[in-house]
Amino acid sequence: MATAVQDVLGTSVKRLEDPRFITGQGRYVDDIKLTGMAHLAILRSPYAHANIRSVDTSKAKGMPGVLAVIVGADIPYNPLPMVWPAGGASGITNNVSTPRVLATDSVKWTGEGVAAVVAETPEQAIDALEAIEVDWEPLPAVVDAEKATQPGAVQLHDNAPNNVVFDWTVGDKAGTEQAITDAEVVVRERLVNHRLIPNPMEVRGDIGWYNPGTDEYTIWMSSQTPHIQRLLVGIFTMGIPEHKLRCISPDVGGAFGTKIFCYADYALVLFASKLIGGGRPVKWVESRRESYGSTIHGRDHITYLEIAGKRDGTVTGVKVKTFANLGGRLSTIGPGIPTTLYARVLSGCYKIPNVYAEVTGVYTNTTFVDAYRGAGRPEATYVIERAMDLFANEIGMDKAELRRKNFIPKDAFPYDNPSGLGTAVNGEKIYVDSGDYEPAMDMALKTAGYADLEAKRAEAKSRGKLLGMGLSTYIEVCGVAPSKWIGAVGEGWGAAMWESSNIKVHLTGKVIVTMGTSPQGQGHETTYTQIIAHELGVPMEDIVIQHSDTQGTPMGYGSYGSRTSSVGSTAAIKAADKIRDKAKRYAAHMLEASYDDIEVEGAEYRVKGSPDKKKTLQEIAFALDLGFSLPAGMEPYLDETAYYDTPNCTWPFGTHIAIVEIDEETGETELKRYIAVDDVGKKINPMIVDGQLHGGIAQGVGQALWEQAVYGDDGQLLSGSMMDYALPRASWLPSFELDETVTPSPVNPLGVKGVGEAGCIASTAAVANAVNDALSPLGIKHLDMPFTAQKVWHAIQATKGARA
Amino acid sequence: MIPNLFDYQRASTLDEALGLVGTPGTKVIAGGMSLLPLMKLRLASPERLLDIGRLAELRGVRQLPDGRLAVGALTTYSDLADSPARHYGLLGDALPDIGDVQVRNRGTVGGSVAHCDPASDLPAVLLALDAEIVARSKRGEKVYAADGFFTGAFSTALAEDELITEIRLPGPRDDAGSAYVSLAQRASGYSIVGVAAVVIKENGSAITKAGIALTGVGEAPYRARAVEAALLGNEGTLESIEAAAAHATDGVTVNGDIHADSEYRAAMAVTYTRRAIVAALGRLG
Repeated sequence: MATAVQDVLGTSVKRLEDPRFITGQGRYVDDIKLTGMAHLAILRSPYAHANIRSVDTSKAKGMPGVLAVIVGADIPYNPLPMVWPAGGASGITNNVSTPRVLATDSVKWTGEGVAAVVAETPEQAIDALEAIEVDWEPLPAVVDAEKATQPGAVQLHDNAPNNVVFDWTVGDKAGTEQAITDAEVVVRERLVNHRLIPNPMEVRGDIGWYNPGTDEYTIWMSSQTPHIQRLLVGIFTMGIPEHKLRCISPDVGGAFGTKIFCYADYALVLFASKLIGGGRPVKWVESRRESYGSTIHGRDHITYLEIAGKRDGTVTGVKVKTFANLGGRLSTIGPGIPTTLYARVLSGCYKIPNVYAEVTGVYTNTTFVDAYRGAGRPEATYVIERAMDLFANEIGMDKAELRRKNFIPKDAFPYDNPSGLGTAVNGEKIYVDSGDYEPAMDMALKTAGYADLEAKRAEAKSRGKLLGMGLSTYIEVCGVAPSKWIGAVGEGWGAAMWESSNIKVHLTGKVIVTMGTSPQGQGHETTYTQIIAHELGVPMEDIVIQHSDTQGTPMGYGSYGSRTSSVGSTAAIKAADKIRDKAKRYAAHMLEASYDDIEVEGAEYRVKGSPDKKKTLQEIAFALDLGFSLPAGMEPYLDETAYYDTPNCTWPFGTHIAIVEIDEETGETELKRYIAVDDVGKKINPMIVDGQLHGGIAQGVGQALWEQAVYGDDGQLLSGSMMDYALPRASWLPSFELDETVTPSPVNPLGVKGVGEAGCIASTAAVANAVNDALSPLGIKHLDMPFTAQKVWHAIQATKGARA
Repeated sequence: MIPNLFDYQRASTLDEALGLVGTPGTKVIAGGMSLLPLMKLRLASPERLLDIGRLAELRGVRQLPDGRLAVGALTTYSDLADSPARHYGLLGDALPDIGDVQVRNRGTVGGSVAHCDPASDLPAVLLALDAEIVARSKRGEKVYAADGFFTGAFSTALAEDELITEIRLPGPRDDAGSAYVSLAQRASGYSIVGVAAVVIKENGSAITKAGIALTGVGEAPYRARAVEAALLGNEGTLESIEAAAAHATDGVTVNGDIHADSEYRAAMAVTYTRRAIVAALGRLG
């Protein structure tokens, strides 16, 4: 008799990954040491903008241990691909310049790769870099996206007049302008969403290996997308098709989006391995300081906002003009972030009849910008949530009540947002699937003591502190995306977005699941195991999840955009369905019953009405593996693969509230309380969901209060190390007060939505609104992030001058 | 993050160390908490490191017969925080906030003093306390007053061939109160402004001696003489403290950087000076 297996779906089981991660037994790229492995170091531009007159490598070539010195002209590959142009199928022009594997004629930011050394040891490679002599012609630089578009600005690329990558619009321009003209109240503000430097704990690195015996390439890469890299690095950059390149992502120590993209070093280590010959692999691992210039940055928008409406609080129109800084050259999907993932979700959870956005993508002499946790949606949430507060202040209405009045009503789903992702192209649309926004907000308001805000403010004032409370009623888009929609509108990877899963139930009844998605620390091995254990009725310890190797896992599009739980899990469930179906057919054969008479409970397959006539999944797998007795037409082995294309995205939402206190005398801001009510649908593992929310909230608070990439006018990165770039620390944060509402997503069988980004999408705006709320009694209408002590102090001083 | 090649020599006796200190290309290393980051970034590339870290005679805190505390140069911040020195209010304030756990466990008092980072906390504490810095060379021993020792950014009065062996703190007294307050730069933890205050009321209600020192503000940690002078003779009313603190940056060219421009830093120097004095007087009861 089979032992009943406890259902683990929806429970906070401990993470299966943690024993190896927290005891130093993880295997990251830099842990891998291969026989004969050489080491590569990259010479990076010290200038933000310069022409390269010549590169003299003769001295470096003679340095101890040096195997090769490589310059841009040596490399026969294409420039790196950019696969998500703004506008997709709409045909708007994108003036594209992407990095080459090494720069040839000019550099566009400090940190762009110019030459590389391959040596026996990393120390020798780095020493030899110093012997490379580059004859530079330094040029003036521009770092501000708005200034870069103005007449007379320094020009970066011949094919991009005024440094414009694209001018893109969405929404109804005439209707929105009319709404603004007709409105009783219009509020205008300039909002800056400053640049961030992502800091995954593991920096990027890769090992390239060319096997001259097979003419095949293998790369170990700290990547979120090994399957896609086989296309982007192999076919697009090097001209090597899928069957000649294997991509492996071992354990990946965090990414936050940075490891989605196709970087120059991937092709460089493969090129170098082939160049030095003998089948020697070549490793490159960036230093943290190098990472600040060679791995993508995030955010960096300047936005002119207009919000219009009636004095009763009805918002009738939102218009924005946004300058999106994309850096010196384009990263893989740089243009897609401030367009599709920003402007198309700009109206948030509000029913706003007229929304129009103009987005100008801009080249500047800065590190390239691409998707960083939230990717476009934190920027959108910041704009709309600040807009709601500014509007409420202008008409003297309670900020929560203004939101309540403009929420998409719960009976309006599926909601067709006129300026959103649902914008029809060739008949394909995406709808906001579900939502019920008021209960989450009410729960958060109650926990925060919103009704007592003025009393709290007065009490703090008596201690010399300015107290502020900030709301962020956010919505987010997860589970990207239906392939047919991407195909129709051309927005997305320029490729599909389905997911895959293969399940094998082996002779012993043990289950090996291979997935097309690629985790970076989120705990996918745990959550997938919970799902398969639930679906097949086998204990968790009998299941292993494998992933992130193009040899041996089914093709998938990787893990980003909070898509794994919705799209990847559904692929796993579909594969489990196939396993169960075949097991049922074989059980019918074993039990001499008809297929329709077999009922399945957990791992038990029984004949209806004859409870003693039964087989376990393990018995079925054993017999199917042996294949001694197969019914006509049935293949041996219990091995099924499913591919899943989602019919829609998923739409988490919630209300976050931040309470801050500002020392009026010094400008120091302290986050006192943080309340988050999130609706992420059903939860596979509530502890992992909480962990994602905690990390995301901390990251978003970090942007609002401390983090900022600062460039000098000459394009030098002044916040070029962790000594000048302030990451949030646990001791600076209060205990987060989390709660939930649960509106199951109708899009997938689990009812899940995704949670990887929600925390940071909501929290930046909540803190920004709280700080501005705290400063509003002084007459300050809007202050941009980050709210460093000196910035807040200067703002307070300016009001004193004005009042004097 | 890989330094240039360098030679390494560990001194097993103080005499051996003194024979090498000051030889061209040689840099002394103790805890390495300031030097190693500079070397990893190749901002410093000494030809030779002289490691004095195992000279046991330079480690530890002892009380001298006259009541003063003698702190060995190789005493770590953690060791100092576990010693009787923690009873000095300003040291009790300053030590837990220096660096992080690793820095406090490895970094040494002598190293901090010799390195003289313009934003380092300990020099301000020593200035306010009127501490003495004892140095040795082959030529013998020399005692420096803390006041005047910190001559500029990363520069001190120490001679090329001298090694700091000991820091001497004045003995504890009941009529003194002290405090250290600082505004930290969030990323590095270094002080944007750090203020050490010692106030002494020798006979009753009026302040008769004051040591006020600031770090992070100017080229080097400094004594705020004008603040001290303004405090003398008054009873420490809030108004008088505020008036005294207003002189916190008199004669000083105030630093500015991306974290705190000079206007903000100067204002915070005044505010934190006032807070330090109030806290020090508060401890006096």
